[in-house]
Amino acid sequence: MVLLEISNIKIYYYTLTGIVKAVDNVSLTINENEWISVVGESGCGKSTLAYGVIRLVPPPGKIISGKIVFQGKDLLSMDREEFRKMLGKDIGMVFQDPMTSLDPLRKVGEQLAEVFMIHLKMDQKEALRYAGDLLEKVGLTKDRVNYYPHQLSGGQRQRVSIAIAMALRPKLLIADEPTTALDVIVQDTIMDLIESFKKEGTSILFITHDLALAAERSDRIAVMYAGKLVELGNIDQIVDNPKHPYTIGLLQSVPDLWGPRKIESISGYPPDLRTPPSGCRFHPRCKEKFEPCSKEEPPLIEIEPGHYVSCWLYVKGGA
Amino acid sequence: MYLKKALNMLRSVIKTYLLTRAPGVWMLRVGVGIVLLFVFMAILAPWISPYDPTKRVADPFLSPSWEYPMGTNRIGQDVFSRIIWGSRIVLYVVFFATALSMAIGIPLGLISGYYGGKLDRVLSMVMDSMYAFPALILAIAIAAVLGPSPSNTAIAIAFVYVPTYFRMIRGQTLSIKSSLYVDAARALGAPDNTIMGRYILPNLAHTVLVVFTLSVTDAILTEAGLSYLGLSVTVPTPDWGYDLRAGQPFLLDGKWWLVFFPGLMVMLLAMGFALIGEALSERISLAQTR
Repeated sequence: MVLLEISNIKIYYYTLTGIVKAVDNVSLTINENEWISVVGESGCGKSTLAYGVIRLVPPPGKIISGKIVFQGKDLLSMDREEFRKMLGKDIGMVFQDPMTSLDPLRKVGEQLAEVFMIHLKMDQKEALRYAGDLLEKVGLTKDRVNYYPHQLSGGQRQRVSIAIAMALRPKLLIADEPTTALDVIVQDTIMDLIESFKKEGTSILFITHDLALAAERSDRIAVMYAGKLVELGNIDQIVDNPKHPYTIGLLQSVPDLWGPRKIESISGYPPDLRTPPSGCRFHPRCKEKFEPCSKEEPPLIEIEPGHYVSCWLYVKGGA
Repeated sequence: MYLKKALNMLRSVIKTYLLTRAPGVWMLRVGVGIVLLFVFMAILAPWISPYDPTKRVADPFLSPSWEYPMGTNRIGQDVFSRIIWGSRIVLYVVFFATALSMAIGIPLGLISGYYGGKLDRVLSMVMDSMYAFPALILAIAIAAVLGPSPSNTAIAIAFVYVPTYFRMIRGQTLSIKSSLYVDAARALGAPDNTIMGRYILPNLAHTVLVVFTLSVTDAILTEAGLSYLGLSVTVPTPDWGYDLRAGQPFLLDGKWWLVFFPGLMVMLLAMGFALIGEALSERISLAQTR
């Protein structure tokens, strides 16, 4: 069952120095109870895509066109108030930086209670009781409700953020690099926590730049480059049988602890999205580039069931 | 229960702000001391003032002595008693004025900064034009229209300080609005009024405190100026600014106490608030750069 369907979404930032095409014609579907990871370098538009789903693209960004359908409802054409009531209840979001994603002046219990007060119209006393239970659910003790964010560690704060996002058991949890600011041990426990919610039936849209991290627990991986979706497939397809030269490059940049393979980096830098390269956006950095690459954009084709790639190497008969 | 909560809050404020070794804390202590002195003076006026401030109690123009610590004025009223009672008028006007300008400036600044757009542009333009006007002249004009009375003086002063609050609050709202925890609040479905009231407003407290102490200082001087010009109180109400003016013609005759003491009081009270404001803004900007 499809839970969220993003189709042909375009999100542009209208800056003074030009239009930044952060997300350009990206389509992605998320099924129920599925963990899908969006992987890409900094600035490839993966976070913008996540913000787009919850309609919080910061100005001067704008969603230009496309459609986002969640449980049969079109999110982008939805009335603002109606959409607000869905946020937090049907869609939860966890942000990258746990240091700044909680209000520094209010106790974490109060911030947790807010969700119940907003969506279930509880009074604060009742909501605070639930807040304590919720903290236990994410592995903190009940008495933490009376702590201020600065009294908690980064991992604990991220647990609080997750508790807030998951308080009302949304069907979809969007996690925008939730572990980037944390060390690897804490990172692992946070990933376990997110996975525990997936086991209870929540779908996860996981944004990360860490392909290894994504490969650990995802069902499917979407690889983005310069605002485009370049490859999409399930874990085995992406890890064992990557097709797009960019995905191959990403995988080669991860050290192999047991094999003889050397680490190789992708030369060059990601392009300026105000003036993206013509044709395939990856062609200036691509080792395999040939004639059509700089001329025309490759279509996203399905090369095996469920495995999509956008590269001229796999287009039969060429351009 | 609320009383207990308030007391606890007061205790923690005292502890964090007054009983520390932070640099510049002496300014805060001295400032708070001076302001509290005047507040108690105003509250206890009926008990501590030796004479009725509106009655003739002795010969005119007596110089300071043990019996009349600050001398007597042209009509033979005790200057010391008038100073004590005068603190009531000053504090009343100043606090009423700042409360009023806060009550208008803070919500407008918050709404303007939060929603932005056309409303923000119009409000900012109105406030800027108010701000561009010389404060004292504007206050004189308003006081002249409304007629001389302490409450009207307060309204005139409030009008002058609305743009100050508006600008500071708007600016802070703009910066807080773009912080991650406000995004997070939106992502959990918080409606606009919840975001403004519970997430942004409490974080503006520091700014309000600093603007408050700084604008109070100005307000004291403006109040004194207005009553000096005869636009505040009516005779025989004791008021520092008015007494200053009443004593001024006799200054050249060597009757210095008529002008010196009211002037000193205005200066002291203004300095008290200025010290608090200075110390707080230093502390808070320290806290922000850290």
